[in-house]
Amino acid sequence: MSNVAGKAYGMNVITPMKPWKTSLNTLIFRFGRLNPETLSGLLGLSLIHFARWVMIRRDQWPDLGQGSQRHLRNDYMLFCSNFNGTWDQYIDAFSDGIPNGLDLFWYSSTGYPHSVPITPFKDYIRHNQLDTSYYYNATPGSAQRDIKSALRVLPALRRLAALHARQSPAAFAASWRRSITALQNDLGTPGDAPVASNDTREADWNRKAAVEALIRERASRAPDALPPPASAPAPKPRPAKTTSFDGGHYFLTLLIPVQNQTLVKHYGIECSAVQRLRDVLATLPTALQSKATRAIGLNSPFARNRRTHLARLVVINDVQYNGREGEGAVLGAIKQTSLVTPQAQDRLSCPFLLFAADFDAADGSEATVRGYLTELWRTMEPELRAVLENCYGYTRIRDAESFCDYALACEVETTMPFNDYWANAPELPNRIPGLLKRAALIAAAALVASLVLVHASSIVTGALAYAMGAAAGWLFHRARAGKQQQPSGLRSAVPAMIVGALLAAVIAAGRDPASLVVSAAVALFAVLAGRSIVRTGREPFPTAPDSDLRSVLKALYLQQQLVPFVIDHQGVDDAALHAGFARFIAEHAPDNVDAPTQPPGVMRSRGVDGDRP
Amino acid sequence: MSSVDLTAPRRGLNLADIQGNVLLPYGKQGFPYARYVFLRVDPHKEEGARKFLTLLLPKITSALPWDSKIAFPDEVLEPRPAVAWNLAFTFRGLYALGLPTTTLRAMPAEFIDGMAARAHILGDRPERDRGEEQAAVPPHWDAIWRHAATRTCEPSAGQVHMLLSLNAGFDPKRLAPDRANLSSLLAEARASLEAAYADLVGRCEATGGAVQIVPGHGPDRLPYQDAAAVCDANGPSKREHFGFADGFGDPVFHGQYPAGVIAERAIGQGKLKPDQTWAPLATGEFLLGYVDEAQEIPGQTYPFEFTRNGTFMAYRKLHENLGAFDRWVETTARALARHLGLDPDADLPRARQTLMAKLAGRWPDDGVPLSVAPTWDAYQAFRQHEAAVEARLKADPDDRAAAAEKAAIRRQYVDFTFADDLAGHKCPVAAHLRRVNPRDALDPKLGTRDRMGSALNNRRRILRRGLPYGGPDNATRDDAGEHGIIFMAICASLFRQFEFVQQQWLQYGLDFNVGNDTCPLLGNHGPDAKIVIPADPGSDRPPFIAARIPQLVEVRGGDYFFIPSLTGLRMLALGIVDPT
Repeated sequence: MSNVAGKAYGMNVITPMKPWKTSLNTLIFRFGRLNPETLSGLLGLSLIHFARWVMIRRDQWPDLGQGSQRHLRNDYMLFCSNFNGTWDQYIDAFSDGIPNGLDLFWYSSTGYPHSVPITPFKDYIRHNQLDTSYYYNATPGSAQRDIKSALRVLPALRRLAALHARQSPAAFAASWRRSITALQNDLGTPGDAPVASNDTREADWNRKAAVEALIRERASRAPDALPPPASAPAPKPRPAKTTSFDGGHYFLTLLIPVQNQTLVKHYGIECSAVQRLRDVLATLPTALQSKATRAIGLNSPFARNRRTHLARLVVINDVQYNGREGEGAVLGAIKQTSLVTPQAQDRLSCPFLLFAADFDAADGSEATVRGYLTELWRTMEPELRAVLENCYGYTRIRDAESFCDYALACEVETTMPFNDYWANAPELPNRIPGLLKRAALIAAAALVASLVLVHASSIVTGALAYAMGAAAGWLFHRARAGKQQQPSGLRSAVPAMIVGALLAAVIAAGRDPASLVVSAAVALFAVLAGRSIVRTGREPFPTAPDSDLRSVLKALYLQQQLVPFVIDHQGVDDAALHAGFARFIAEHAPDNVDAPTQPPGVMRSRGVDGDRP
Repeated sequence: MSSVDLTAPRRGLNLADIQGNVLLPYGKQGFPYARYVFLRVDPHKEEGARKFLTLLLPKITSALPWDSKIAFPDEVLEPRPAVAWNLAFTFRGLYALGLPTTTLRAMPAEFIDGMAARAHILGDRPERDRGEEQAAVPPHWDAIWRHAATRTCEPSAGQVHMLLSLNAGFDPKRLAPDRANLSSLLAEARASLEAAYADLVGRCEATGGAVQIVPGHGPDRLPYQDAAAVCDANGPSKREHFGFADGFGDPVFHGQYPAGVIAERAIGQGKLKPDQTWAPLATGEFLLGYVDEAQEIPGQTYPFEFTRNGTFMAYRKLHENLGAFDRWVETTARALARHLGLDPDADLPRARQTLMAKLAGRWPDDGVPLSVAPTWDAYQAFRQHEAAVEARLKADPDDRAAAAEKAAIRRQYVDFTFADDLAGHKCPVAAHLRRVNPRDALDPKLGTRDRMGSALNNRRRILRRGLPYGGPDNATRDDAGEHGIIFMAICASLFRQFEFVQQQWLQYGLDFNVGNDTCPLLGNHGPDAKIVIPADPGSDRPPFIAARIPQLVEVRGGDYFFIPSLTGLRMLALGIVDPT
């Protein structure tokens, strides 16, 4: 287990929320995407490679025949982040830098204490955090800022290569000076991350012996007999446009149920499948991301493809309980709540294995996801089998196609993806005012038309009546939601809301028909605005130039070649610079994205501490 | 004696309860000499050790002002001591003194570990190679730290348990206007330091082995570490051995100065608010038991009376490779001169000063910040203006306009931000000064309407204390000589403040967009160590990369200490720390 892969820290936080709040929080995320200024602080901190928020409704936990999780009282929000720096640094930066945005994103989470002051906030994150069982980083020697720097170097070198072909040495030298000045704060050195903690460092070294023993054991072992095949699971319907796809990347989230009914054999010892799974994940080779892993010398199986930026596997043993939910002392006294009677607590019926990957994709179609999964199967079938044999439904996997079926049956849509590999920040318009204006125009038109027909005398009465009706509907829903086995989300509240609104309508209409019209217009506005925010907020952001892994690796490679070249050519004359850059182009081929380049899963292109990748 | 309510003074701080080295640096108050003596307690003779502490209590210097300090007139309650005595404890020291488990276990993890065990975090030693077994304490550390990482405090282990620091000086008011009596005053200060040390040795001997001095400093394994300001013709200077004027930036926090002057003092030294004005930092960043910049009183061990008004300190002995520095600066300054179109021989002093300024962020001779005087010409103009104002004041000490100008000039040494210099044309983004105190440079909303000032920097500040060692007559300037800086960082959380600055900002460059490039002065320098000196995009000249920087600074040892309040010290001496 390690949450650290080179310069990235893999954080997983899963927090409970009342099902009626889930849609509201989704609305907040969509709002954030449509009004990118709300993300400006997050972008300004510039310490996240990829992050995602995933709303897991009670009926969305995959069921491969092991049983559903509809008995849960809560929906859950899963937050996965790939950030740079230590845990404390990250949480501090969040709390110091973007406290308001943070409180909005965790608005619906039960027991969330707010991001300021820091100690209760850290306690809450720590309490609800799941440690990453296996973590892969294709660029462990480069943080997000480093990648953005390299992505500024890449097009500049391509431009210089083009200019070199047609400019005189003197003219080229002038172009060179301009380009290097523009790149002067993008010339950092990649390398090992600062030690996250003494404990991480020692675990990294201690793990080496176990991984090496396992590699020897696997080499000498005959392949396992495959289990008898079973029929493939029924494919799940997919939305036409998925929010798992954004900015040229697919944010794949799989929740795979882990077998918890029979014991399994592991090194000749009987143990639970989840124990064996944890052992497999702990000893699966990571990227060559530290001196200890370079001493092992075996790269991650994910480094066999050049599409996966980051991937993680996390054993979710169970959802976390945040302690008794409080209510006001006065309310408790009125309701005569017994504080000594324990509240019901959520338990999953089996553990789940979270697989989260950020990979390059042209679109969010099923064919694209299948393409990626097929590549994984083709390049790392033995490792995938060693993991998946601990999961329910494993016998359904016979080949690449049935593996894709299996994985898709376990997919949960990513609600809010986040990535920023923009070398230069794009101008993203705030689309909220436009959407609100449209909804307001329609509602206003409807209102005016209606008012012509109806004499308006008491708007206030109508509005009050509607508010009372809506509140009654909400209370009604709350009472119902108290009982179990409810359909999740705001949907369950809709009938109650309608009842409330009708009640209000009847009352209002009896007094004054005009207020009914106003109420209807306000409701129409809210519905139209909400719908258009949720719909439009599903649209992906544009793709940042060169933000695919192949280009990122090439950019990192070129940046590392450029720095010594600049140092060696300080103060040389124009002819020598021109001739030198001709050799640079010939050797490093800025226009060829695939060669020479940096392989995935290594610290840097040139050797570190004598270790050649 | 005037009547002052010491429990609720106007500063909001109980100065009589805080040790004197915490509030303000002695070096700036006319104490150019220091001697650091490390003591060990025999855990089997705990009672003798507590008696030693009891007898020592009256000697300990508090933060109560004397008349040469900035203070409310009626705060001046104490005569200025010839020697200031201050005491601090390692975790193992507190353990040896028999502190309760409940109190000890809630101490911060990094304090329990001690500095030697945190060497990989601090960058004080390289990662081990395949198959290599590393000693518990980094090699090259002074012998006194040999047992620093041993997980025991048996008497045989020879561990450091206490730091007694003696600071000696003279009252600046006694210095004659022509400075004729300077050398006799300095000799007097040295004599009082020796007398204080003899006093301490006698006190230790009287304990019958309960408290012993731990020897092992430097190649001669001395029983103490001496430090002294580098002196020039004008007396003690602000320079360290490389030649940098040092000690300008130091955080200002609530209570540190009287209400009348603190707003002025906070300019450039406190925190930058979103409205771009300066304010003192929260007291809790530097003293335990107060609200900090996270708007809370952070968790600390029980009983609160034991920790309140106390704080933590990192003590580090930083050796300076003067020979390597001089050689590299000479070679690189010539290359820089050619790059700037200067004569590599005739203009070498100018190129050398420019290079050193770009490394540090301040012009080396007098500490004028690059942010204020970014070019050689601007620097010369600044100096001429300063000299002219000084001359006017000398001619007429009552020239109020000149005095105001002088105050404005002094403020310029600390009053600057980086919002207008994000690319580092003036002060390189990777220069030492921007790394240790990035001010507003990390503001995530810098380019937007709602700026946040120094929000990401406010919880990373440290009070800097300490003096050069190996001086002042340091003629040899080679790498092997015994010279460098005794550096002390005081803060409420060593992990969050000192270790963060050391690991993330000095030994790493991510927050400054320079990847793994480390601090050009204090960082670890591998074969590709470098600093980019950015060019002004308006000029046709490209940036200059000062490359292949040799290792300039090496750690020779140190540890983490808890500086208790006078109350805490008394509780320790009496043995009445009780968390029940």
